[in-house]
Amino acid sequence: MFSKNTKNLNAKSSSPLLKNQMAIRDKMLFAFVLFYSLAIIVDIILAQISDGNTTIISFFGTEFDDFRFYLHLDRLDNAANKTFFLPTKYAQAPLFSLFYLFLNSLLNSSPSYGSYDYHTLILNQNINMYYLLIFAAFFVILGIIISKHTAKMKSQLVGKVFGYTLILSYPLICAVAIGDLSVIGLIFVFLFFSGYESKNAIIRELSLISLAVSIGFLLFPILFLPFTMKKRSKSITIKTLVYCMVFTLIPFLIVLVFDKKESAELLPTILSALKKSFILPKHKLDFNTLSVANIAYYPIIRNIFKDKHLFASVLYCTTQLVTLVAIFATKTTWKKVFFITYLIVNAPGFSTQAMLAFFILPFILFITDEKNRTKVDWIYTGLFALLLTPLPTILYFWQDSLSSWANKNSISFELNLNHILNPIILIILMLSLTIPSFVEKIKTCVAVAKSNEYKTENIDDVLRSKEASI
Amino acid sequence: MKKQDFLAIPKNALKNETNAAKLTFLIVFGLCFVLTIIMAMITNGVTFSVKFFGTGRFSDTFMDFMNSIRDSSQVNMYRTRWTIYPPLAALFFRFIGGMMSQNSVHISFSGRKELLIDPIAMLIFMLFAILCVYLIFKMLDYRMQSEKKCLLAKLCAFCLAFSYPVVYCLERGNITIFCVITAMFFVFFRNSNNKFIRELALIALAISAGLKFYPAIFGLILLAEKKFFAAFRCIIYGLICFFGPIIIINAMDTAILSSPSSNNEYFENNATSISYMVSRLIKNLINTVKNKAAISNYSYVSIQQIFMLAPIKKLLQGYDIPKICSLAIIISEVIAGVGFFITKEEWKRVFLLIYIILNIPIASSVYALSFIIIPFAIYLYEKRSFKSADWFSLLLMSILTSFIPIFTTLDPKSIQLLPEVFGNTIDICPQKLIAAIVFQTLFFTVMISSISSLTEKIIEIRKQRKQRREV
Repeated sequence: MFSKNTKNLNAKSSSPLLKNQMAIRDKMLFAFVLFYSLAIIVDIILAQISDGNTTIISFFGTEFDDFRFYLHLDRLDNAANKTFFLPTKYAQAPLFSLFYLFLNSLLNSSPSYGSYDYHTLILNQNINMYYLLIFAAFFVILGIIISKHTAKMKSQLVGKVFGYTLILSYPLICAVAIGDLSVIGLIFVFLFFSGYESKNAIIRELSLISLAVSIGFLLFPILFLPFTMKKRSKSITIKTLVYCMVFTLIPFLIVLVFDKKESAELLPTILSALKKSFILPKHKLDFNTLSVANIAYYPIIRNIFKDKHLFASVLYCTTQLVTLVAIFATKTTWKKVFFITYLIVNAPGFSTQAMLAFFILPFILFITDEKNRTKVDWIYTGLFALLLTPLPTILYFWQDSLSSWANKNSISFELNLNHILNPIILIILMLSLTIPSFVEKIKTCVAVAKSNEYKTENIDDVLRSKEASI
Repeated sequence: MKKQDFLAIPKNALKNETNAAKLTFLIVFGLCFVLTIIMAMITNGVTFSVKFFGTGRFSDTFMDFMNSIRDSSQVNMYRTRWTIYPPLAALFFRFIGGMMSQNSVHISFSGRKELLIDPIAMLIFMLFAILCVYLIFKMLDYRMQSEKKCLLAKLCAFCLAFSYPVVYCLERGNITIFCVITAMFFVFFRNSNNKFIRELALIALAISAGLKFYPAIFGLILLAEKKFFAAFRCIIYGLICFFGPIIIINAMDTAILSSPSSNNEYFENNATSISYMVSRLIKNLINTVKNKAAISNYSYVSIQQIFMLAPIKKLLQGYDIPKICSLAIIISEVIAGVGFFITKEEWKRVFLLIYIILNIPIASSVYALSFIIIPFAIYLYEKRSFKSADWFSLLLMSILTSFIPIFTTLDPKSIQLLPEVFGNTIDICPQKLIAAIVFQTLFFTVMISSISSLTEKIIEIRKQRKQRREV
C-alpha cells in the first residue's frame, strides 16, 4: 500500500544529493510526528487522570465561561438578527457573512433567536448537523490538499502520518472546539498556492479564483495578492482583482441589503470594526491572543516598563514593521508566506488560537521546499511542532499554587501551555527567520557595493591607461 | 501525481462503462443533494431535519454516542442498563467517559441530554465523527484510484463518504460507523501484497466484530477464498477482542467496587465476574432480539418491513403475519447465504453478506445501510461488461445512498401531529419509506443476475462437454 508511490519517487530522485536531502527531510518529519504523538499520548493520560479538565483547558482555556462552539453560535445569532456589522466586534468578511446568512436560511425558526440563548442553540439538531458536516467536508478537502503535498516525501508512511498530524493539529482542533468556521478559508489559500504556478491554464485560473474567494471569506489573504505579480504579468493581477471584486463586493452588497442597520449608521460601524481589527486595544494579559503585544504584560517583562500599553504598542508596531520589511527582504516563498501570516496573526482582530492553522501552509511549503537542509531547519521544525501540537497541560497539577501566585501579582491566570507559549514561539520563529534574511541581504548589499567599488577601480584604471595612451 | 492528472476527466469517460457508472452515480447524487439543499432553504431546514429526526423523534441527535458513554461507564453495566454493546465497544466508551467529568458521566437517565452540552463529550464526538468520515474517504479513494487517478473517482469517494446512510449514522452517533471503517479495511486490504497490511486487515475484522458482533459474518469471505489459516487467526483475534476487554472491564469494576470511594452515589450494584458479564450480555441480546422482532417501522430495511406495508398487510389479512415475517427472514437469509457461494463477482458477494446482516431486525436500521458503501465502491471500481441488471443495481444503490429530496413545504407542528393521526408507522421521509423496498429489490436483482449468470455458465459448460463428446 505504501511502497507503490515510493518506488516512483525513488526513481525520480536518482541524484544522491537529493536523496540525502529527502532523507534529512523525512527525519525532520519523523521527529515532528514523534513529538506530536508523544504529546497526544500524554494529553490523553492527563485527561484520564484529571477527568477531562486538562482537555478543557487545552482547547477552551483556563478561564472558560462560554459554551462550546460559541463563535459559531454567536455568528448564527448575528445572521438571524440580521446584524452583520457591529461596532463592538471585529470586521467580518462579506462572503463569510453571506455564508452565515445561507446557513441561517437552512435553520428552522428557533425561539432562541433574538434572545441570545446558547443553551437552546446548542441543542438545535440542525445546527449540530450542519456544523459537523461542514467541518467533516473541510477536513476531507484539507486532507486531500495536504496529501498532495506529502506525496513528495521519500517515506510514504511518514508522509501519510504527517498528513494526519497536521489535520489533527492544535489550531484545527481549537477551531472545532470554539466554532471558528473561518478556518475554511485555509482551503482556498492552500488551493491558490497549489496552483498559481501551474502550467495548466485551468488550474492557474482556479487558483486565482480560490485566492479571490479566500479574500472574500477572510479579507486578510489580500496580502497574498503580490504572489500573482511574480511573473510581472499585469493581466493576471487585474484578473485576480476582478475576481476579488466579484467575491467581495457582490456579497457585501447582498449583506447590506439584508442588514438591519440604517445606511447612515453602516459606514461608521464598518470603519470602527476595521479599526478595531488593527489597532491595539488597552487590555491586560489576554492569553487567547497570539499578538506580540501580549508579551508586554507577561510576568517579569511587565515590571520593566511602567506604561505597559505604550510598551505593548511600541512592540506591536516594531514587529509589524520588521515583518513587513522582512517580506521584501526574503526571496524564499515559504518565508514570505510565513511573514505575511505573522503580519496578520499579530493584528488584534485576527489574533486567535485557531488562526494558527494558517501556519500549516508555510510549514508545508517549508517541508516540501527542495533546498539544502541546514541545522537551523531542525530549529524551525521544532518551533512549528510546538505551535501545532496540543501541549500537555502539566501546569494543571500546580493549579492552586499558580492561582494564588497570579492573584497576588494581579496577573491573568492561565494553565494552557499553548496559550502561554504561542506568542513567544511565534516571535522567536519570526526573529530566527528575519535575522538570517537581513544578514543575507546586508551581505549581498556589501558584495554588490564591493563589486561596484571594483568596477569603479577598474574604470579608473581604464581611464588612467587611456590618459597614458594619449 | 501530476496536477494535470488530478483534474482531468478521461476523454473516453463515457465510452468506458465503469466511468459512465461513476458519472451516473455522481449525477443522481449531485441532483438529489442540490434539490435537498434548495428544499431545506425553502422550508427553513424542516425537510432536512425530517430526513434524520423523523416525524416524532426530536432532539435526539448524537445520543447513541452519549448514551453509550453514560451506560458503559456504570459499574456492572450489563446489569445496570441492559446494554448490548460488545465488551470492546463498552471499553471504548468507558475510555472516553474517563476523559469526562464524572458528574456528567454518571448523570441520571432523565437528564442524559445534558451530555450534549458537555464541551468535552461534544468535542470528542465531533473529532471522532470527522475522523471517521475522513478515514472512509481515504479508504474509498485508495480503492477507487488504485488503477487510474482521476477527479471522477475522487468525487465518487467524496460523495460516498457523505452519503445518506453515513450521515444518518453520524446523526445517531452510532458506533456502526467505525464498524463500517474496519470492515471496509478488511474487504479492501485482505489481499494486499504487504504481509503486515494483510494481517492488519484480519485484526480490523476482529475489531469490527468486537464492536458490533454481526460484522463477523465477513469472515465467510476468508472461508470462501479457502484461506483457512487466515480465518483461524482472525478467530483468535476476535476472541482476544471479546475476552480482552471483558477482563479489563471486570478488573476496573472490581477495583472501583473495592476502593473506599465505591460507596458514593454512582455505584449501586456490586457482584461482578467475567462469567456473569458474559451470561448477562447474552441474556440482554436475546431480550433485544425478541423485542425487535415484533417491531416494525420505517427505520428498518429488513424483509419483514415489506410485510408490514399497508397493501400487503391487507392481502395477508387473517394470516399470522409475525410468523410469515420470521419465515421470510429465514428463507431470504438462506437464499443470500447460498447466493454468496454461487456468485463470483466481488461486489455481489460483499453485498449478500451485508444483506444477511441487515435482514436481521435487530441490525436492520436505515443508518446501518452505510455498510452498502463497501460493495458500491467495489462496483464502481470493478472493470467489467455491464448488463442491464447491473445498471438497475446502480440505480438502486444510488437511491439508497443519495439524499432524496422532500418536495413539500412542511410545517413542524403538523409533522409532529402526524404519528398521532396515522399511528406510529407513519414517516414522511421518502428515504425511509422506500429504503426497505429498494434494499429488498436490490437483493432480488443481485440474486436473479447471479443465478442467470450461473445458469449461463452451466449451459456453456454443457455445450462444451457436448462438443467434446461429439469430437
